Amino acid sequence: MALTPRDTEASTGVVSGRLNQWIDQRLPPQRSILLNRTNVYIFPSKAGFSFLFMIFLLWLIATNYENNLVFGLAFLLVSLFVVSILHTYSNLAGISITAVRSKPVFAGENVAFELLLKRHNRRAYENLWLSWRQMPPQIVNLNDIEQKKIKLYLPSNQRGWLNPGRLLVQTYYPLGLLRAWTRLDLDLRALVYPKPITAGPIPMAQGASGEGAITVCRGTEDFYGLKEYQTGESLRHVAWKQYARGQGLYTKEYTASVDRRIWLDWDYLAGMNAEARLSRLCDWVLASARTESEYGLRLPGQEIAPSRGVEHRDKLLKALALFDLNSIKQHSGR
Amino acid sequence: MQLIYQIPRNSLAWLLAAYLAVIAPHVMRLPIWIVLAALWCLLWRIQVYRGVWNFPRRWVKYVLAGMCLIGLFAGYGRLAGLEPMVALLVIGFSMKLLEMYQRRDAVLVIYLAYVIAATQLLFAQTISSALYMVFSVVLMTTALMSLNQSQGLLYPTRSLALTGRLLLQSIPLMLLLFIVMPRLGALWSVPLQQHAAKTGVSDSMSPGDFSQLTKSAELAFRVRFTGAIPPPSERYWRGLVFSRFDGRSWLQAEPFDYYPDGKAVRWFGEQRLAWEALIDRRSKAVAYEVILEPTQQTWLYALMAPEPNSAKIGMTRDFRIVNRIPISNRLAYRVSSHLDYRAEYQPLPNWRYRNETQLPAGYNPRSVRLAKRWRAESGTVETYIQRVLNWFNREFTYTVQPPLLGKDTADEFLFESQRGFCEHFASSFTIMMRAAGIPARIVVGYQGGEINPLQNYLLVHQFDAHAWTEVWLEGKGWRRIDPTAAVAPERIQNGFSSMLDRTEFLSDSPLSLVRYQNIRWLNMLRLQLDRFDYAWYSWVLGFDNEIQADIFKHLFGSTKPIRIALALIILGGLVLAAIAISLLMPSRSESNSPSSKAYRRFCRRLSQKGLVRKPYEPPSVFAERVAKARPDLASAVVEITQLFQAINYAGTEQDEKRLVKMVKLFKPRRRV
Repeated sequence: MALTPRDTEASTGVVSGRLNQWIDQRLPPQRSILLNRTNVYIFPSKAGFSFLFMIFLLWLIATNYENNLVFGLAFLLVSLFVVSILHTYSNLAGISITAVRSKPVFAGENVAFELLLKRHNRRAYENLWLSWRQMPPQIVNLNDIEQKKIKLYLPSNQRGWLNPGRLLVQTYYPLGLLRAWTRLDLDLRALVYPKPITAGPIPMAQGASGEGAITVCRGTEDFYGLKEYQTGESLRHVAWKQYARGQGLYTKEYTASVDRRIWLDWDYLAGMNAEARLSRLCDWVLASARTESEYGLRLPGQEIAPSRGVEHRDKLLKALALFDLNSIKQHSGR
Repeated sequence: MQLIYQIPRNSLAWLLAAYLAVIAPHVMRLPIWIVLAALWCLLWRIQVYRGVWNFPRRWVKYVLAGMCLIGLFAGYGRLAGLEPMVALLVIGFSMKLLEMYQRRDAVLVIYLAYVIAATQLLFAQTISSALYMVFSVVLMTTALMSLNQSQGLLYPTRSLALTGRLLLQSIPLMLLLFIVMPRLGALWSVPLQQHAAKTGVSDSMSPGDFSQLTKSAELAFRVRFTGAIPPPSERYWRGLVFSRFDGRSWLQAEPFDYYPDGKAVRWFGEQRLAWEALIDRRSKAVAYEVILEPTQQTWLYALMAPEPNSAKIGMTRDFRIVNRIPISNRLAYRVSSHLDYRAEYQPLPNWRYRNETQLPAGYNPRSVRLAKRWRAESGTVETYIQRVLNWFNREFTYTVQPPLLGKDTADEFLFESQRGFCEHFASSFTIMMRAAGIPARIVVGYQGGEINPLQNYLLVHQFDAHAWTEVWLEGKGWRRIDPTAAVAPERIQNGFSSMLDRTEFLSDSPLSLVRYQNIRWLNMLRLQLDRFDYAWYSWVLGFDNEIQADIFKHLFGSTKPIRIALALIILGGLVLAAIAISLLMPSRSESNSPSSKAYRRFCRRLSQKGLVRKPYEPPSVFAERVAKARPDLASAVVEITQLFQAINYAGTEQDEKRLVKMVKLFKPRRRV
């Protein structure tokens, strides 16, 4: 179904704004929520109100023409409306929604929040709309499977924690006459790293080089040992002596000892504002992570010792994402 | 070029099917150009869907709408009236089809379809039109449903099945509302059908009119008597009284003919008028209910001397029953009649005498001469009447194919052809009476009727139409005299069955089952079908405030609004509760594999220690929670949970056994 902005409009407006506030107070944050009568709300949609108006017209026709068959039709449609209240409600009730996780992104990218929808009975759930704020909804069906993982995206534009706000779960099924909805706080947040901005080569740390430990990496200077040959390796370093002895094909390994301890320092980027500095530091972190070097980070008020690996990189990125200059200034001011 | 919301193919298919379904019953009533325009819109919409054509431009729509309005005015002369209104609705409906850009436009088209489908019921209320209505409702609701389904799950049969379920669940509540909801009665007067053919006897009578009616086997009305059904010779259903004769046609008296008596109609519920004292009701009343087929006329049929017992009907100065507005739908009304009566038995005032003996000068000279001579020869009025009747009986023949008559109808009939139908006998008899100075008038209506033995009610058909005479006698008032009975007494006693062998009879209804009533099973079939129709009317179409009140009294002991409201709430609540239970009751979907059983047992053990798994909690989340609360159990819990989940995805039998064993060994101690 193509969704126009109009379709999602129902969640705005003065009355529903008040209602939403009230709902938000009633429903505390939870990682996993089962939808039931305590948290599902239902109200006629615009189409529902016009349906009721159409029934009123039929009733007028029936009354003025004293026509029992038109009465019958009008009453059938009233009953249809009433019965579809139950159907619309039951299209939400009995589903649990669990926050699974969200992966960190760089500012400007879309955050994917992973949710798990699970039904706790054998009813077919159809045409559920899930959305964050005013984002176009994602449509989910749980008709022949018990559970489904979905990703709901939200654009990020600022580093730091991104709180997606309440998850709006709504449905108009089966006849579009009623809207059942709930607004859940799944206690989800996503980490948004600063947007990396290319900052050129990393200045070598002057004061830090003295403490430099020796990084061992593959080089060509000193013989270090033998390693089993793998196809594709250069034949220049094959240990032919060992091969000639029939011991198999080995490669000679050499080392080059270089001081590769990199410090990514806030102070290198003097003259820029905080966000610009963080973005460039972020780029350096990513660039350093692609090398074999150990790298550390110095920010006002904190220092992270050089290391390597994905976890280390993420630690640095998190520090950049959550860096709060104001609190530092307050501390130093005291 | 605007961005077009494409209605899903299945929804569009259902919508167009519903469109055709609701327009189809109106096709015969609408001008042909509207039907063609509607089909053109349909074709256009399909082409838009296929991407062959574009939506019409705005000015094209304005021009089309203007042309349609002009066409409507030209065709109907005005827009008030049921047919022009339906035509207008159909035009708007069709044009909206070409304006369906968004989902809500499609929804509006469906709502319009509901209204147009309802108007079909204003024209016909038979069982078949009700069934057709159900069919259209299914189509329209399926279209509405399919607009709210996910594209991926949109299969025609699936939408249909879901709609069927919804509609079936709606029926109990609908019946409840139908029975309980009060009927307010017309709030304002509404335009009625204009072009429906008037049926039954008409408001004037000229020779040949009645033989047309005998060709029709259509039903005129049904009668249900509270007591026994009176014999055929008493079943003279008076519809119209003709007191004016212009030489060729008999006409009703104009209201101003009765001006000295004031108002000529007393409506039900109004105060009795002075002229009602003219009737002397001598026997106990026979009470009955007449269910009249639509006639598009205002007069009703009743036995003499009637007393209206239903709202909105009234009695006229010539003791007939009338309705305020033309009868465009079946109408049920209650009357009680005193079969033994004296009407206007007091001496007639001069103006009344003149009216009831009026004859145009220069017509039928021979008849007038004969009447005067015979009256002079007869001592009393009674012997004169008897002499005329005897003459009819001796010399005349009853036929449904009477020869055509010229200017002096009575002369030609009495002295030349001497072959005629009831109207000829009644007319010439009345002329003979008036010529002799005896007040006389013609009454038309129906005579006899067929009893349906299956449910003991009376069926009166068009071929039962009849004309007879009322003669005023001193001290006795108006007496019914049926000259046809003098000629063909079997016609009165046995009704139409005596005429089945006549070829002209029912020639307009070649397929009517009435023709074949000599074939026993066909006759039974016909009566059975009529019984259904009768029940349909009395339980559905005729359901009104009176029946409603009866039901309430019977069920709840009173008709107090509070009791009715309570009944509605309680019964409606029960119905909805039943639906809710069937919908929402969690049908247990727990599997019975050994691993699931083991996992449940594991959860039970934990719950005994105060760690209850919520029904919606995924095992991994639960395990995390337990691990936090009881670090001492963390490793075992995580291991069991991981194994259980692994088994759920792709487990071997050995894994299952391992899980069962692990759970068996899992005996959490109370925390110290």
